[in-house]
Amino acid sequence: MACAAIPKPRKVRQRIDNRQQTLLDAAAKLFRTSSFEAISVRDIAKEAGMLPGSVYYHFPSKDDLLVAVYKAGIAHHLGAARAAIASADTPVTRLAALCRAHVGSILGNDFAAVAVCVLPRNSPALRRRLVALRDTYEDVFRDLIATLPLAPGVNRKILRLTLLGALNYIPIWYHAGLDDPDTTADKILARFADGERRAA
Amino acid sequence: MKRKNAAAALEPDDNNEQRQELIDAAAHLFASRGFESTSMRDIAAHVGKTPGSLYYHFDSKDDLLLAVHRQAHAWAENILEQSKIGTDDPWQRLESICIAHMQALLQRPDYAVVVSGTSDSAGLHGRVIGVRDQWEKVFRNAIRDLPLTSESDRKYVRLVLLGAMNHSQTWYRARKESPAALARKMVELLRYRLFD
Repeated sequence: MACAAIPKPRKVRQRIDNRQQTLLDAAAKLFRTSSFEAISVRDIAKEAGMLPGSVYYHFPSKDDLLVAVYKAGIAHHLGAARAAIASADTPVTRLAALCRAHVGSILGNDFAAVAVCVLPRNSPALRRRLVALRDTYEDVFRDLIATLPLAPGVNRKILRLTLLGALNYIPIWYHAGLDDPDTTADKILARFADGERRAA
Repeated sequence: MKRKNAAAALEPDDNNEQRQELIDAAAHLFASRGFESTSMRDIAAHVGKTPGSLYYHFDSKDDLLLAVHRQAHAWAENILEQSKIGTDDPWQRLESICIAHMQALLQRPDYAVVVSGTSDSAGLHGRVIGVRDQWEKVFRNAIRDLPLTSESDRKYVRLVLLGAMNHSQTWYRARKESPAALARKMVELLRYRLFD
């Protein structure tokens, strides 16, 4: 866009940023509650109280909106994860804190929920971009799991994928009145930690 | 459209084949575009038929959705049936069910997306359909027999396994490992303790 190069007065810039945030909030909310394929830019505009044309001023396409929501979601996850890990001092307690942070994020923040639950199948190029973003966060799990004093025979990769799968499934069955998010995370981790002793 | 060969068109085999083709097309479109964004016209066009011939087999789009669920469920049941190992070990029985689930899920990804409800209009909460409940019951029954101490433990074993298996759709790469091998590893992970 040609006019983008012209510096804007600060007040105008501020207003544009606010509108962009309103738009992202609306997109995150809709992407979390409906399927990506079923949502149109028009729906997002309506949710944000804008005209569809104004959406295109900020984002060229629905795909770009999803990428922007993902980036914010991954940033939220990374912030929460780093704080959680810093709060504990052994690998095992760090994992517990990380799981709590993860569950708190996906149940409490639309952006964080979208970044783990939404992955459109139609466009391989978009999918690769999203998976790459997601990987920057899943690496936190990978690195932490690498430090765990696991029993012999436990496959670390399967542990990471199974644990993330179990945690990311929570929004599908979770509703108010069940265990709070921290307890839910603890109970899921306990299902992994507890069990029979392996035969030598 | 004039039906030249009405009798032949109604042969059961032919009919079944057409029906199957339509259910496959519906599964594919529901999975890639979402249930709401797919019309009966789209499904008919996908297989090169007129919408009218689609309505000959299915009364509504809801009917087709139900057929997709039933088909997926039937596959899983079928795999499970073939794998009946007559074991009394509840962990082994659970493993057989998970293998059936993973095979149905990963070998028929379109169906899996529709059945796991990640792509339909109701979004993350999915569409609660009797067929899915039926399969979950198979699961629940196997988990009921596990030597666990509390109901809460059982509930979480079920939710962890379902979550982990459904999530595998996003990372599974064929040829690296079979669905059955992954299912075994997941069950093993839950059966034994993580730390010494």
